[in-house]
Amino acid sequence: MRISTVERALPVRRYVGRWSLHVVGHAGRFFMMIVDMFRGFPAWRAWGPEFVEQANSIGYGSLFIVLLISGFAGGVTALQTGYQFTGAYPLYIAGGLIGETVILELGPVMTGLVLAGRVGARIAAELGTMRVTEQIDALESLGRSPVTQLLLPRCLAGLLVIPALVMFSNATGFIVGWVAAKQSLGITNAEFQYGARYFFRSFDLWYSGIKAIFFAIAITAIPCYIGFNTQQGAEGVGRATTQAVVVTSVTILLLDVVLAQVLLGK
Amino acid sequence: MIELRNVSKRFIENVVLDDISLDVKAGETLALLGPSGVGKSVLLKHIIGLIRPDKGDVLVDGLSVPRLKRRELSQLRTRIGYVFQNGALFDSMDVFDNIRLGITNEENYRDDDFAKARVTECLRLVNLSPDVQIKMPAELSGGMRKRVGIARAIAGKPTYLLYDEPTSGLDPVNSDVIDGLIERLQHELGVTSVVVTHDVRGAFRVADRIALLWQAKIRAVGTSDQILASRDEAVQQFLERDFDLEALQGGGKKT
Repeated sequence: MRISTVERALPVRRYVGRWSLHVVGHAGRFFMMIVDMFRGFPAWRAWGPEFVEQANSIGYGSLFIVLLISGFAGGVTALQTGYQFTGAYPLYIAGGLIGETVILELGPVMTGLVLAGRVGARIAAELGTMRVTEQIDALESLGRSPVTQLLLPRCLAGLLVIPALVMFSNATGFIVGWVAAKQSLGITNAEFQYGARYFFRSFDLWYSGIKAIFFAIAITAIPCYIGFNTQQGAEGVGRATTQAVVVTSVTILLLDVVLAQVLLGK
Repeated sequence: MIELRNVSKRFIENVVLDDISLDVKAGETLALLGPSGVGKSVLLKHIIGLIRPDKGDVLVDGLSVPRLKRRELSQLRTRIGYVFQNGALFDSMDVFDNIRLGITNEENYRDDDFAKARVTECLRLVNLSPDVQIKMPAELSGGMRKRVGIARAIAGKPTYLLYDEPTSGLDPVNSDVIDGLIERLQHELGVTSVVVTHDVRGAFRVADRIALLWQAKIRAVGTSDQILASRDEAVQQFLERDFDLEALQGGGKKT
């Protein structure tokens, strides 16, 4: 018996339909979570103490690893610049190249990816465990909003602290890159400063900051959503944690492309 | 008064509750019996609005729980204490802060003196010493966690207390202690209670009435005498599975 084209296409259409409903469902619930956070904003007494704790955990807790990685990123950029420099360009260009690479790309993106792993995984695992051990239900049963008490402080803390971490990362990457360039290229301080100033525009720092804010939203809100909706015990917590890191990392890379096109595209 | 009116709930293809109707009168203790995984906890969560029914209605004090707005539902929940199966204590808080969270009146919650006095009083009610306040949940035994969970549930002076498997995972001695506690709280606080359990002996000890949830339906409801006298096959099977019916008919009932 021959199968018609329509019959052959039916499972594919069903699959696409189900997948679309799935995506729309998640988007709707994610949007409602954000709306709930705005609603909970005036109840600052409920989220204030947790906000301070989370800001400390995200900021101070991540500072060392962020500085370490941005230092390495700045250093490697300088070394590779040295490797590619053949004497065809004036040395001061290295100052501009390292400064711009770190501020526009490496500082925000490296910090974002590191925090997606460190902060995003922690948030998803914490909330997921609270969900499967009924702690979130317990909070609701006491007439308290888990969105206001658990999710809002995490997102606000990230929004405040992650841009600051990105700025620290930029500074560290730049300084280490400078030192490394001096070693690998033999560039003088005056040459490096001239190049860095020549290519620098104040918008570059704004761009880095704007990226950091978008990344901060992704690093906190996505793991909050995934952790909050965890199901099926310990296995579910593991799955939620992995999912949170993967989805957040991919979102950061997508945002990187979109923001570059929107803010830097001509 | 708690009223369930033709409540149905399914999770994907699995029908958990099928056209359930049940009343819990003010001041009484109703034990909801049934085998594990039959949907007893799901039914309990309908009462506090943690799960919405697919069909039917749940009324608490005449208010339709599924139709309440967020703020109204939060308000209603301040009148209901919920004891979770494993305590559901907040890991990051000590016992004092866990119980304090149960104080649902915001002014009282912020008043340190009131909170200290209330937490101590709640610990006394559940037979725990005030020294326990400074411990973290991880430092407590299973029985103590359950009792702290009960203390948190009663901290807000609720009108209703819902117990989700209060004795599961406990040895017989600790189960007896918790059953005694439920009885005592019923007398001292005069609350309306629903106790979800598969422990038949405990149910007969604490409840004024017993309901049996069997294959998504309420198979029998009545006093312990009525349940014991029931000729329903499922009721007989369930009671016999746990213990000697003749021994129970001889004594075990709530007096």
